[in-house]
Amino acid sequence: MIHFLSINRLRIIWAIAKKDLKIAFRFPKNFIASRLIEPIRLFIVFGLVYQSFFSLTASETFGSWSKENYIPTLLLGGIFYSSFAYAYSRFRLSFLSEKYWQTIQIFLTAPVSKADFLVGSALAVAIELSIPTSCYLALFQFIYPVSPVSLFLILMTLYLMLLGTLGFSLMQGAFAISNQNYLFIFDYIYAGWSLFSCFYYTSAAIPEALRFLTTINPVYHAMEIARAMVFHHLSCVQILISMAYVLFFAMVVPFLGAAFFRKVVRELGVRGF
Amino acid sequence: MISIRNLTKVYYDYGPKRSIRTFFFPERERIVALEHVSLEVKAGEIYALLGPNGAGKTTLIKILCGLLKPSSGEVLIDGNHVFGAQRMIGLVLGDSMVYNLMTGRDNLDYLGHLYRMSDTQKRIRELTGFLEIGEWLDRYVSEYSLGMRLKLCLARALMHDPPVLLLDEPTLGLDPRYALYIRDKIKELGKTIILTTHYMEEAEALSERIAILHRGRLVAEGTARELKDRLKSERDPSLTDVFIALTTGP
Repeated sequence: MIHFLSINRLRIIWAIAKKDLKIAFRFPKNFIASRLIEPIRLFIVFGLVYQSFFSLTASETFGSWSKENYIPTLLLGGIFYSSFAYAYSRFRLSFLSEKYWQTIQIFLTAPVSKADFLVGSALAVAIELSIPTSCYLALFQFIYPVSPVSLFLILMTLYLMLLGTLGFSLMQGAFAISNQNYLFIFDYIYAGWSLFSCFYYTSAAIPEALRFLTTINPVYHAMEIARAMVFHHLSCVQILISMAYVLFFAMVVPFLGAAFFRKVVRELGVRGF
Repeated sequence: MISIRNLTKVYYDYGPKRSIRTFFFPERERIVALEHVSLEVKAGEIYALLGPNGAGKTTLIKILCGLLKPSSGEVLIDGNHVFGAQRMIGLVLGDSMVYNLMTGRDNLDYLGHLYRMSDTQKRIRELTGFLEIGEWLDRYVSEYSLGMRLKLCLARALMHDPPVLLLDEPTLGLDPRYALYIRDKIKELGKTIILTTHYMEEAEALSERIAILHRGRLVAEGTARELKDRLKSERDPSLTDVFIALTTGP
């Protein structure tokens, strides 16, 4: 524990985060504007679908969603989806850029643990995403006010989900460095993973035979915890079980990602720069 | 200081050929980048590696800094394996390894922190004085000229004050004035240096010993005088004559 929290290590982690932030904010208007539009892109599309559904049919509800709560629910989904999408492709995009810029050698030769790079990058992602997240959570509060404790738990769940997703992203990063030919696998995983995370719809929309895929998906549990903080449709026990699962995802996957990264880069080497 | 023993590096690559057949059944091509290379570099020595394009110079540098794993053989730096000696190495790979989207100062500061330096700003001041880059330090690297970039790359490699420097073509593309400036600075360092170059006068002016690589093999090694003496057919041959004679043919 003392080693993990040593001042030197924290300084390295902060230096990595600072570097990522400096690169992200080199063109600040572009960066902020593009991050701000992400959560509402699909929000608008699904909003139109739900509005048409509730106005054209006599139905008042769709699963646990209703005419009254679908807008804040979609907004919450938008915040989680855009954060998930950003974290999922984070290391793939940054490593491909670093290969193109020919700076990847710094990362590969520096006597720094890969886990520190992961934590530094996670910190940078958290700060980068704090701009759209705080804007949209403020809007959410305006539309559908929740208690500060609920808001804190939503944010905590969001960041735990981000940490786990970044761990998985590091596995993609390994292929971005070693063999870009297999990156398509992660596009397929992304399609399935986001589909079964139910960001913009309830799990009732998933065919029953495939619904177990949402149950085993930690991102779905993170999304459900956030919704439960607002709509109170889950019991305390259900929330605790989901929270334990999300916590497990956030703690274990980064280590698996770092181990996988080391193994792939060591076995396959570095190619394409 | 640096001991390279029987180093071999073999790549397997799919090559540029594309067809429906190679899409489903890719053909791997075996490329021998280095073959049984052995050499020793003494502490404080400047050692030049010469060789035509594709001879294996950059591959050797990448193995020396731990970017590539050799297929066989070993590299010891002051008795340690490369992966345990990364702190001892400063690396210049042409004008790469600096972030264009950050300022020169931010680049150096980032490196200083990665190498756990306690006072990065003090070291930056020392290096900017030594390499005369203070005026440009707070500008984005994308605005730098090639000469300025190379100075920054050298500063970056020197940031953690490593005893060993690996310089891959440190003056490539520079005008003669800038190239001379960089060479003078390299000489002033007094570190153990392996440098690769295509400039014969650079190898001759800087290094005590020179090795010539050809198709992954070490074909000659010695002082400039010793290499020239190998070419008995010509009177007063230049290093270029020796280079051409040793690297022509299979």
